[in-house]
Amino acid sequence: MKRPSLFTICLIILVGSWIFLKFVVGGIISVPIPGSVIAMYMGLIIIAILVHISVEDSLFREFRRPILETLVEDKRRLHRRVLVVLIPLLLLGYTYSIIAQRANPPGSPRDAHPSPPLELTYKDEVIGTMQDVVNPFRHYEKDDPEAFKAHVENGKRVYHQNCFYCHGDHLDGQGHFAPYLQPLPANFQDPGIIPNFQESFFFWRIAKGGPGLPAAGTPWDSAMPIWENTLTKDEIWDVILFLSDYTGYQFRTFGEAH
Amino acid sequence: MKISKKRLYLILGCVLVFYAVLAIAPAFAQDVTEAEYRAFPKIGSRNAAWIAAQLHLLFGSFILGVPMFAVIIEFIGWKTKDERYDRMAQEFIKLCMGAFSTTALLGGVLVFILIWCYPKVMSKLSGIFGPTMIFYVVLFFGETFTLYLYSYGWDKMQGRHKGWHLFLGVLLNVWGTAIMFVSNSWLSYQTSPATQYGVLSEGRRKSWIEEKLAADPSLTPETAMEGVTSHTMVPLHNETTGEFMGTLWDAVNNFTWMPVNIHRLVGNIAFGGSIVAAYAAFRFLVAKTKEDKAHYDWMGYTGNFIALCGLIPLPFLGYWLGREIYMFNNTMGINMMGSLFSWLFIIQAVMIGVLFIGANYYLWSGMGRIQGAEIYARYRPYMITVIIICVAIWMTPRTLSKISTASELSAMGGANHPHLGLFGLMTAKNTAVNIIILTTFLSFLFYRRSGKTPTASWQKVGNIAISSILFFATISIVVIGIVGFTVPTDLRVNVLTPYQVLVALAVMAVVTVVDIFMYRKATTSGTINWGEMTDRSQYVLILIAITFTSLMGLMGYARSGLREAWHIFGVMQDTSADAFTPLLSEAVNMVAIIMVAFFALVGFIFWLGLWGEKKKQASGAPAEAAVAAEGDD
Amino acid sequence: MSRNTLIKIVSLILMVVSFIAYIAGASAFPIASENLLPWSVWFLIAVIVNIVLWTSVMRLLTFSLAVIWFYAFVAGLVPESSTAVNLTELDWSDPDAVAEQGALVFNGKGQCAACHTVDTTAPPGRCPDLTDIGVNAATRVPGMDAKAYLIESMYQPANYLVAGYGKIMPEVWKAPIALSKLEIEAVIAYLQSQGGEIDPTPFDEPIDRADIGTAAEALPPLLTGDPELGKKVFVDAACITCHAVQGIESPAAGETTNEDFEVVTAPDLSEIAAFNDMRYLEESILLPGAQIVSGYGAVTVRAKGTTFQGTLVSQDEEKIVVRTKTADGVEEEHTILLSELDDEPIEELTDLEAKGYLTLTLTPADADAPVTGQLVSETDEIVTLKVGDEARTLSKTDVKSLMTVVTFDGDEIVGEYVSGTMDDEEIVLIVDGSEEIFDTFDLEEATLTLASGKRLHVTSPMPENFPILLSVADLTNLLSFLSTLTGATAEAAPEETGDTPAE
Repeated sequence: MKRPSLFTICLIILVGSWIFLKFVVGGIISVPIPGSVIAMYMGLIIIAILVHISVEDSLFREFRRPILETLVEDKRRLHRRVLVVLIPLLLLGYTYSIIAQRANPPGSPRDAHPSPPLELTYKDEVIGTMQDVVNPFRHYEKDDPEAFKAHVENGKRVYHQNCFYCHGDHLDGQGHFAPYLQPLPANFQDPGIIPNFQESFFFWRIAKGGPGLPAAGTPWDSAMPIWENTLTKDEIWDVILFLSDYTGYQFRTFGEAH
Repeated sequence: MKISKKRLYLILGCVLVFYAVLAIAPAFAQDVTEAEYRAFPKIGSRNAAWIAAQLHLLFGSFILGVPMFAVIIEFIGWKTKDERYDRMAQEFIKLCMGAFSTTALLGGVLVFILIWCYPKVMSKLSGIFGPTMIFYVVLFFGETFTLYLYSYGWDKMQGRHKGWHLFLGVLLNVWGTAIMFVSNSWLSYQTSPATQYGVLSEGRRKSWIEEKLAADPSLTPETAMEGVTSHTMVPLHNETTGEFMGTLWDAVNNFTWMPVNIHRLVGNIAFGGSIVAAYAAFRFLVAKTKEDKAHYDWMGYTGNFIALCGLIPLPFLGYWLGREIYMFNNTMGINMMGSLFSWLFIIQAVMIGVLFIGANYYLWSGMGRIQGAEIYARYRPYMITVIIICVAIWMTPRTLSKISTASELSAMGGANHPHLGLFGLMTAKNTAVNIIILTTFLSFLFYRRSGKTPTASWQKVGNIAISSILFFATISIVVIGIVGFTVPTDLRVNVLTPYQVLVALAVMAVVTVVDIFMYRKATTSGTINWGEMTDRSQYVLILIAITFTSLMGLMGYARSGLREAWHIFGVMQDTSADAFTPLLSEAVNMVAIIMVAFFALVGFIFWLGLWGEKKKQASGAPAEAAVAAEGDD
Repeated sequence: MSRNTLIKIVSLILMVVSFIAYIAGASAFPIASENLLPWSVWFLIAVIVNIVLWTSVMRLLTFSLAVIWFYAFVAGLVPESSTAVNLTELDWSDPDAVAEQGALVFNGKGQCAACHTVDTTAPPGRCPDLTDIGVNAATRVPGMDAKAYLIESMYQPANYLVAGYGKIMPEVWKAPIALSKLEIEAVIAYLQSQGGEIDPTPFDEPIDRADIGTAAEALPPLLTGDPELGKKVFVDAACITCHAVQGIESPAAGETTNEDFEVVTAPDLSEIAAFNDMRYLEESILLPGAQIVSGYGAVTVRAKGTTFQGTLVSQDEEKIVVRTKTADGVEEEHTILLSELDDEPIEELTDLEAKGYLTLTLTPADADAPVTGQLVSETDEIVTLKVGDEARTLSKTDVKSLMTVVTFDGDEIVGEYVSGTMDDEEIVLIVDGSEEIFDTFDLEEATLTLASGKRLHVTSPMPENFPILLSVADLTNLLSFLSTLTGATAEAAPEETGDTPAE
């Protein structure tokens, strides 16, 4: 069998990787990937192909040959005619896809993580700076495992009475209300949530809820209630203990500088 | 070379204007304290200060980075007795002279804008940093005269005095680095006006404990010190009044000063190298003769090599700086990496991806001019694949809410993709960077080996050793990366990531040593045909230089913007009309404007050099820069 | 100068101009407009032409400019938000600059962009797209120019609603958005710049700012109820099952873990009192269907033989969008043209408009063929239909009616109705021209239809029986509670209602 030309191989790689990302990764292996991310990956793959074919002049000529042949040579007349029909059709399709009205609410322009304030407060009481505040019951983990267990148990109770409707009984953000919320409730089972934040950050988010989000990065539309109105300070700390105890992730700490 | 008096006066004039401005600055600032802010006409104070500061900084980097490059090259030339190096170094020092006066002028403009628009801030800063500003002027004098001696003494000090001339070059860089350190202290103080207890002055220690006791009556002098270690962060200001309480050294040696210093120092080496390479590319593209092409091809290669050496440690140093910012203030860290500035770091990933792809592209193109390099071409597709996958990982954002539609978000079950979202975490990104760096190193290894055949008897063993070292290093980097998902952040940041970096650096060192020994007495089967480069590869050099400069502009904005609505973080609030963080696109547009201005000015300086050369050639003087290619055997 | 040189110079100028226009965001330029081709495309065209035509230095310059532009372009792809802006003065000598400041308010503090889009290619938002609002504003209400209409819409957004959109826009001059007059002026300038001319004429605010104060003061509690008891009613009457209110926890676990539990999303009420008056709240409880917030109405329509039951997402003169949810929880959106709706039989010709009929097909007693037209108006006796371009008035009583009878054998027979009902012994119909008599013992059912029509009936998913469930005291307490939901936090509220005015 004749070896396919460089141009064909590149085309196959390009189309193949699109199919791979869109349908294999985004369908069989995992959940769909957003179009913008696929576009970014495809851009990188095009760059990779361009890099490969243009490093050496000989490769570049080989890549170009089928294109030139299609444009001028008689034996490729059929290809040419197909292209003359195909290219406007593709453009038409693209134009249609842009113009076609789809009832699709826009994504949220909010920031990845809200910027916490410098000081942590509960109601109006200043607890300390975000940097320095630690969970007052955390030390029981080493000092008094029994008391620690009691606090975790209490946290579990608080969680199941208040949080689980949205955040789910596996703490994975799949609560009963979750499908109706936008943004979706936080998934504490995600390895990027708990380990990236100090406990004080979680305290701030729980205490102040959606309305306590900062002015920067608006509009916010978090449905998270202001829990400091209903929970005591200790209950919030307990539920934070429960989050890390249940998921097995540890909150970010800032130990000594090395 | 004959000293042109007119030019000397021009430069001296510019420099003197700069000194004059600096000298009157504190007095002037204190005189006008009644006004907090004055608006710069049309474009606004912040934009004016932004443009002037960034241009000044870029030219400052130019006159710091290029002499660094020149001294290294001069040293290589001296040791290898290869005159090409010496001439190239001299050519660049001449270009530096033009850039030097521009830097001084821009510095003067910047100081004027700052004092006119931000009198209160400048008065506060000059109140604290007054003595260092005088020191800065002294250093600038030192640098000016050393540069003249170094440049004009080049021809006279050849031969016997070459060692002294090199010493002058090193001295020049010492001045330059010191100047940078001094000015870094001002701006890093604005970002992190705090320092660690261990390096704190005695006076501030006492006042800090007094403040603590006053704030909390339940404390006693003994209990106040509970939990305080030498690493505890101490603010330099009275926490209620905002009055500066430390010594000058406290303010200078603030928390992020050293990380910024080191990051900028290494960055300048890479910047200098990339600017030199871009200059060479420009000359290559306009060159008419074969000799010129050969010379500039070689110059571009050398510049790019130095840039690459600087580029490789930069991600690690940047990571260190980022970690220190988290340590200084967690809020600032989250703002930087996870919130207001997080998308800036995706753009940064795009740029660094371009830099590494470009650097590899150039090396691969370069192998085209070496006979016998063809055997390595078959590895190239794999290397491209590895680099592209790593760049893709680095570019994948953690939170996709901004770039997805609502239906895509609900299909993903949240703002994070359950699998690709893992690429958004730092441990994945660090792994990707380490592997990109190792791949780039491999490209360079191939380039070095091209056209040579080792004669060492143990070459087979050596090759197996090198391949297995690289293989196991890659495996262990990936394993560390995967383990990084499961351990607490503290452990990952302080133990795993440094270990990962260490593996990469150690492997590169070991492999280089083995390789050098293996190829010590290698027979050469092919020569490097300098000048036989594609034009495309030269455009890549220019791409690298522009990308590098844009990256500096962008990250400069990030470093400065992190303070948000503070002139001095947590101490002096910005109450002016500009006290907001602009849109990402606005900020990057601003950087684009600055880039155009910078390259227009640099292009003008290069053109001046070219023009002078042409005039000389026309009058029959020997062309200094046209150096015959001697082949690299 | 040769032609080639001319082209080269023109393309060079185009490149520089489009670069500047892209960076500076210039909106109008003689040779191109953003509507025709975005500046990014102009720039790319110019770059390609330049790279092809020019050589050496100029080509290099083009390349450098393209690289710089590329990074700016990549950054522009990410939708970002800026931190707040504070306007202190507007420079009307430069209306474009004012419009730019307005754009900042629009996207930032004003939070307008949360619902409105200014891009026809973007997916539709919760509120009308504002592309070309600068010209369109003048055509909305006869006798009202663009600026007057925009002013009205900013201060009293509920006065004129665009078809298919509900009363959801808050009065932006009130808390919590609380735009100042300057900010509103700037936003209006920005809106006018969308396709229209900016009119710098100053105007007086059609409202009295003196009494706004904070949100809590804007709506003083009119009722004597107890908000605390009202909160209990809110939870006990299960309002909380669908409506979110910040600070109130949802019901206990056992009641919500039902597998069939299907929440029809209802509006968040956390700030309901900040945007709506007491009369509206009262009406919404007693007559849930009277005002349905756009995007929350429940609807059941049949089109092309399929029944769609779900939430009415949007509606305009030609089509509707319905969001349905399958048993597996998959949400789908269907765009249905109004012309595609199936005709539904009408048994009683009363309250047709209220029932949501859009068109009507009926046969007058003196005619043979049925008449079809758009329902224009109706009284107890007559209906007015728009048939083609003419209006026809038809009697409601003199109508030939049809009856469908279903026998126990499963046969379905349709005929012109003569006499009899299921309560009588027999029913007489004219089927195919001949009279037939049916014994009602053989019939399973008989349906009399007077007419048929396309119907779009939007109902509130909220139960209709609130007046029965709630005592007057409950209702008073509930209203008092709802009136405290202004978005201000619970701690702040008591201070604001105290003697000292809030800052």
